[in-house]
Amino acid sequence: MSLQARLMSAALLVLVVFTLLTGLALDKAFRQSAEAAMQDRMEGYLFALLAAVDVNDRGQLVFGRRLPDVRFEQPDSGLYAQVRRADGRSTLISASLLDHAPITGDHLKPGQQRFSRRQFNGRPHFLLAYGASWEQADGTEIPLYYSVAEDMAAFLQQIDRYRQTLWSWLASAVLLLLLVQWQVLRWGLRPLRQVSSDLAQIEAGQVARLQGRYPAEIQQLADKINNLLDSTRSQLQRYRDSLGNMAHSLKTPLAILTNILESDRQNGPSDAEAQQQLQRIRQIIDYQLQHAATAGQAASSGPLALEPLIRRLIEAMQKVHRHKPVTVTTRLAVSSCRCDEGDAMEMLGNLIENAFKWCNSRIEITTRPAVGNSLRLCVEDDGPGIAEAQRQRVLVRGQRADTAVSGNGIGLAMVQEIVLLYGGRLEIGQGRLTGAAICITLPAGK
Amino acid sequence: MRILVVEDEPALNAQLQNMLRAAGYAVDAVGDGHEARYMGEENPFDLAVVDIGLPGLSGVEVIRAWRDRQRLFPVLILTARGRWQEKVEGLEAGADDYMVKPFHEEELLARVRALLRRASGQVKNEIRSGPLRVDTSAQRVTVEGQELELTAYEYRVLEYLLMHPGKVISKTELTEHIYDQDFDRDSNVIEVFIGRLRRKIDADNRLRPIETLRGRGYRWALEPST
Repeated sequence: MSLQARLMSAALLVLVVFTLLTGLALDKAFRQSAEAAMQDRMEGYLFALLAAVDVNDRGQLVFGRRLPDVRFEQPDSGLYAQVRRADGRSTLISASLLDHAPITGDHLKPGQQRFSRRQFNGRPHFLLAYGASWEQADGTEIPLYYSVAEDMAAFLQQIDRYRQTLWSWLASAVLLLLLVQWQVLRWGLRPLRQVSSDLAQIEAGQVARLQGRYPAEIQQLADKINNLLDSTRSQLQRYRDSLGNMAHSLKTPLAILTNILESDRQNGPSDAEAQQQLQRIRQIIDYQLQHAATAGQAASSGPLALEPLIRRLIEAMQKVHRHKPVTVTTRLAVSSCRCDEGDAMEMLGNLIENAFKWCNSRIEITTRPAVGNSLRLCVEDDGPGIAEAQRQRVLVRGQRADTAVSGNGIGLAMVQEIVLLYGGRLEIGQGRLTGAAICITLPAGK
Repeated sequence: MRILVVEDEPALNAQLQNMLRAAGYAVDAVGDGHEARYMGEENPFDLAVVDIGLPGLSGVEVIRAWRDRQRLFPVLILTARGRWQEKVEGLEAGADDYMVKPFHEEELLARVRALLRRASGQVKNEIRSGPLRVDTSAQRVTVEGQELELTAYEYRVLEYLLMHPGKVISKTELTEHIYDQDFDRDSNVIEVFIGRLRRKIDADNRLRPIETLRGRGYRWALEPST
């Protein structure tokens, strides 16, 4: 899970829980205050009812004056009033209650008041009930029950409206906050993405170290990574050096052993066997040494100019083969490759050495662009060429197509190994000249 | 032909000496760079075999020093690492050929012979002069098809003269090229070798292959033949 995803999901969770709790609290508070307001209003109605109802001399309940709200007069208006004698001898109802069953229950003591909800006529209502006693002229008291009921529809509608507003505002706030949070995270994590893309460049061998300026926290990390890269690089160099030293110190005794066996002219079968084993050891050392010394993708190397390298090798080879007049033509359409100088030297050295060994008088070295920002380098000669059947054989280390020309038989196989490390390939074919054409693909320098 | 062996590993040094001596060369050997540089500057060698990885002064530096002082004898470098960087550096410093350790005796001798031939302008293994045929790899000498029995030193004198036809070669030069440093040099011995060679090559005194130039030295007088 990415850092951004973690932070985003945590923020989302916190925000949603917080908003829910806030919403619930606000909802409850509003409801309570709305209910309290309702109760206040109904108490007003109740007091009006108390003032409006009289008991006539026959003990019947009558309205002494009009009730304060016209809704009491309209049938089915949602606002109802009722006064009832506790003994049931008389019940007075507002006009709005005419079509309905009377309000029942609530045997309250005088002075007692109860605010409640009541299912009434199949609809929820607030009900404010009050117990009182009417003192007659003769001093007797008649207990009366006063009730005021109001349909909750308006109230519920108000709550609903409030809720709608509340939740839509809260949801928009959550969305807005998340959006802001996302932007903040992107902005905050941008240096990390920068580091990651810089590291990818290092991996691709385009740069050697982290070079950008980063925020303090990440700069420390970048410095550590740079130190690590440097120490890895110097460690690699040490490994290579010590391998070189090891090869040097192993090969000299190997040379001595080989010579001892050769100078011992009474060659028994065991000597031949020993010679063979020595040859194997020699090949193993050569191969492993070359392998270890190969840098492969060289992050440290910028584009490497091919022309001077090829010129040096040609001059060196012309010196060794001074008795053999060789014309070397070079046509470099791509002038640089992206690889380690030592690796390039090994590959080109082996190819050019082979060409000098086998050619009659002409060698051609060409480069041209190939697909995917790579280059194709071919070394051709006018020698006997490599027969189709032997082409696979010469790529196996230790195999020599012909033992008449000196060499340790790991040349082309080695070149192939290095080329493969650079993600390229080696092809043996027939060139424009009569002899072999060895072509390799390598990453091109920009 | 006198060869300098520069190799710091004593056993390999001894083997190189033995191989080259057995092949008929006069051999001097040293084990470190500074000594090698001195030896090469002070003595007229015909060839040097130099290990690149020397203690003190490296092989490349030794060769460079020789070339700076106009010591132009061919140099064969030995490298253990076999890295191209090393080979090219050696060749650029002035070496003429390279070999990667370990190597076979035959290959070493073939390279040495090739370099010596090249230095004297010869192309083939066989030198032909008048009725003489000298196979430098087998060290066989024939006159009109008749094989001559020569001692190692007689052969060296003959080969040196043949490699420099028409040139006047002093007794000192001959001594320096057929003996190594440790040998007790007596230039009178050269006269003895020359005398024996004349008798063996030219028993009836008809060819007169070696001229004596009094007070100056000897000269190979026969024309190269095909």
